[in-house]
Amino acid sequence: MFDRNVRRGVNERTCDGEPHVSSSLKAYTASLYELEKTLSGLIDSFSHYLRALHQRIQDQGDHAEIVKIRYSSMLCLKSILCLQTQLLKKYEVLQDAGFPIHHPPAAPVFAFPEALVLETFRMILSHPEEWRRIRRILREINRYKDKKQEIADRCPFVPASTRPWLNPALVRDGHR
Amino acid sequence: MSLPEIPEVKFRPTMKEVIIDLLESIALEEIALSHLLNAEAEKIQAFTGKKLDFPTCPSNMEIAKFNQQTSKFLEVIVMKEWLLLRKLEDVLFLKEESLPCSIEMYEEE
Repeated sequence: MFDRNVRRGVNERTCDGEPHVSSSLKAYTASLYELEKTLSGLIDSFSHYLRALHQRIQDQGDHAEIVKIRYSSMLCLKSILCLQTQLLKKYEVLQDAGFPIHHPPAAPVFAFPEALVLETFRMILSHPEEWRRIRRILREINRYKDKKQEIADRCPFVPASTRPWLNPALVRDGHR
Repeated sequence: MSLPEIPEVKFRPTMKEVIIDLLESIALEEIALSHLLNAEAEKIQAFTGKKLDFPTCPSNMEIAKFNQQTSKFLEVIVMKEWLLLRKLEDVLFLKEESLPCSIEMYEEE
């Protein structure tokens, strides 16, 4: 259903029947919002999974085999952070291209339950240095909203004219 | 060594149409990736269960395997997203370079 909406947005035409680049950029931004929403859903599912894992380790006591997941879990968190960074970079590119982004109030807030995740990782990771690394990653993930707001508040980039003394109309006439 | 023979076509898209098509392709790929992420999130939920009790009763080894699969999946999505980011930057650069005056001006000649 959403695909069709995106297509319709991209193919939107102006009054003179020509397709418009700005409407396709608008549709592209809508697809980024959709991606943001699903990423937020994934974070929720992953935190539920970590909570279940925490319960299981507590119930079983022996967690010799569970410990094997430590690096893949760390990689999952890093990948989630990386996906967030990419989303922010895309918003930044759009903003710099003169297409301002908005942070609607209904936008998802990425919130990993930091205490619970740290407690789970404390059971499967042995070095304090690794706990600190996990904590840094979690804080970065939870700061997503502020980072996006910073990008949205930034003034659009206007390149300075390198040759302001030249009249562009005259240059164009010269070409002809 | 011979040059490739490109068949003549009556209609060739303009630069503007090409840019719109490229943006459309990126947007649709983003949507496809978000569907995949959604499917993965649902898979994790089904594996964990509503009561957080792992309803399929997996062994610890199976949980470890599941974790590795999720991690690999996310890595693949990250790589794909980097490619899309690069494509977006290139398309917007192309838009800046081509649309305002240069091409239209020379076409008039």
